[in-house]
Amino acid sequence: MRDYISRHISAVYVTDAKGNPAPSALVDEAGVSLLVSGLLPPRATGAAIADWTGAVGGKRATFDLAACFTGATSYSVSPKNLPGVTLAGSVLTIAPTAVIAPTVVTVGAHNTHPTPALMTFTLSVNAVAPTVIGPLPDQILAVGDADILLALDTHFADAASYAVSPEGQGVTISGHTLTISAAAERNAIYKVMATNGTGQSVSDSFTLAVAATPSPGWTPAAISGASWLDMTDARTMTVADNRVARVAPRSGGVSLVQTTAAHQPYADGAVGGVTSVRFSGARTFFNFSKPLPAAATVCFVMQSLGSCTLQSALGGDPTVDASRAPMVPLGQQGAVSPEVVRSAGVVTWRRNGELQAPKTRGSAYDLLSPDMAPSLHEFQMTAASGIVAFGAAPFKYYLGASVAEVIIVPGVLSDNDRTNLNAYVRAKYGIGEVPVTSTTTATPTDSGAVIHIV
Amino acid sequence: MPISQTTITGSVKTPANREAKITGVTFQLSDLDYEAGEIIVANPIAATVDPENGDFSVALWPNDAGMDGNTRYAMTFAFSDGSSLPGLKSVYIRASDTPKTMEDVAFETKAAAAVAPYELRVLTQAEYEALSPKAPTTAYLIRG
Repeated sequence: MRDYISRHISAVYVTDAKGNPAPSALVDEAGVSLLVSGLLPPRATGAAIADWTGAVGGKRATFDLAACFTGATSYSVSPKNLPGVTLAGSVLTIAPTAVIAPTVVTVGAHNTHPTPALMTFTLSVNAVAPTVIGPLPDQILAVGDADILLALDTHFADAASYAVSPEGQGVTISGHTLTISAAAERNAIYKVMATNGTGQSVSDSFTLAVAATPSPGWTPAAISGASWLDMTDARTMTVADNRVARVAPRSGGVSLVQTTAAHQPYADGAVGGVTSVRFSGARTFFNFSKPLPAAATVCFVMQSLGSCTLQSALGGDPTVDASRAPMVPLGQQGAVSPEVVRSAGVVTWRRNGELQAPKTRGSAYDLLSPDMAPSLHEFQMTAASGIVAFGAAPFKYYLGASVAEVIIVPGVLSDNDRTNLNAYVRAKYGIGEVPVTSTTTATPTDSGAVIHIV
Repeated sequence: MPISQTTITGSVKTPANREAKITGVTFQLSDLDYEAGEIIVANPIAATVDPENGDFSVALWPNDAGMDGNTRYAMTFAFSDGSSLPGLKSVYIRASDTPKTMEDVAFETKAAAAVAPYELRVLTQAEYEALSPKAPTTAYLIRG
């Protein structure tokens, strides 16, 4: 037949899938060309085999090599003995039964011609990717508490190893166990990364707060020169018909007084479950019994009341006068020029010991009333002497919250006192955040915070 | 109605390279078929034979002209001593305006199987280039 073709046939054409006539070979079953003398090698005529990545126990894959090559009578795969990789006739099967590091696999198509046609692809079989099966719990501890041990395998699945960051910060991993130390104060976020045998990873984070332990018996009375008004102590309060007319200090010389019955706060407030004084949000406030020091830090423990006009009381009403709206529940009596008001602003504001820098009234509101939970606020002011009231700004903005304690500190609250104060309110009111003892100071200018007293 | 006819020629030799002394060559269809309203029956067709050199010639109805198109011819050779031998059993003749040799017919029969599932068409380069459109289901073998 080859002789006939060589004498009578000069070419073969077929029409390809796009409708274009294309030269073609005419080969016999052994891959021997019938148009030219000699044997044609197999040719790769099908689509390349794409790189393949699977996971142990995952989907199988099959490739028909006959669709990849033309003119082949047999096929091969290399390297041989890859786990789960088999070749039967022209069908290559990958059953991901074991981990295979990325490996270049060569499949060959053969006939009696010495040159095979080859295709390569990269085969990877990964271990099962690790997953988070139970979020790592946040930890709130006190200095000196026992170490917490977490079995990480109860939080991650299919992990071979673990790592934690940051390192050297009281959280360590040994094998599959996480150890959390409460040896020192901390307030940080830790990330645990779980990695499987093929390098795939997943991570989860948790917050660790290790609070200082208050000095035994410490109370705000220990703050030098401070006036401590404890509205959870009924002995210090003058109450009639559930209205509070006076709160005497447990230390220091400043009292809270309201002689007008209609403006007297109520005695049925609660902060962290502790009975305290309630400012109704409807023109209830106290006057300070004497002028505050010119430079003072006013601290108070409060819990907002969702039903009261807290936004107006603390955040002000921007429809009235945005530049003068109060953002703290402290008020000056009498007319003061806006310039003086602005210069008398709060230097720093800390909530639960952490510096705050709200840029809008809305964010200030959120900071004052985090989830309606009890919180400790600390306002350091440079011109506090003009402040004469607590619970209201000048007749327009009224606090809607329960207040448990007010502490007026001459000058600046020391780091040590702050640590003790935060530990004290945490133990008494369940305020869960840890004090931050940074001395970083934010100013209205550089922080963007706008906390004005009018 | 006239039906298609294709002239087939052949020359017969012995394995010893001598002219075969054949006295007859017959072709018989494997089954009946239809063309142009006619039934093509399977009666034997005798070729014209030159007893001196074994050359023969015969006009046959081409199998691919049939409505079914799947009939075949079986050949039989007769010799001067009265004996006969079966020849090719599955000869498929494609229509052609020009005479074909038996070798052409044999090649086309084999080639049709080789290019399956393509249809086979053997033609000249000029005939191929004049085709428009080219059928995507056909393999074109260029004679030349």
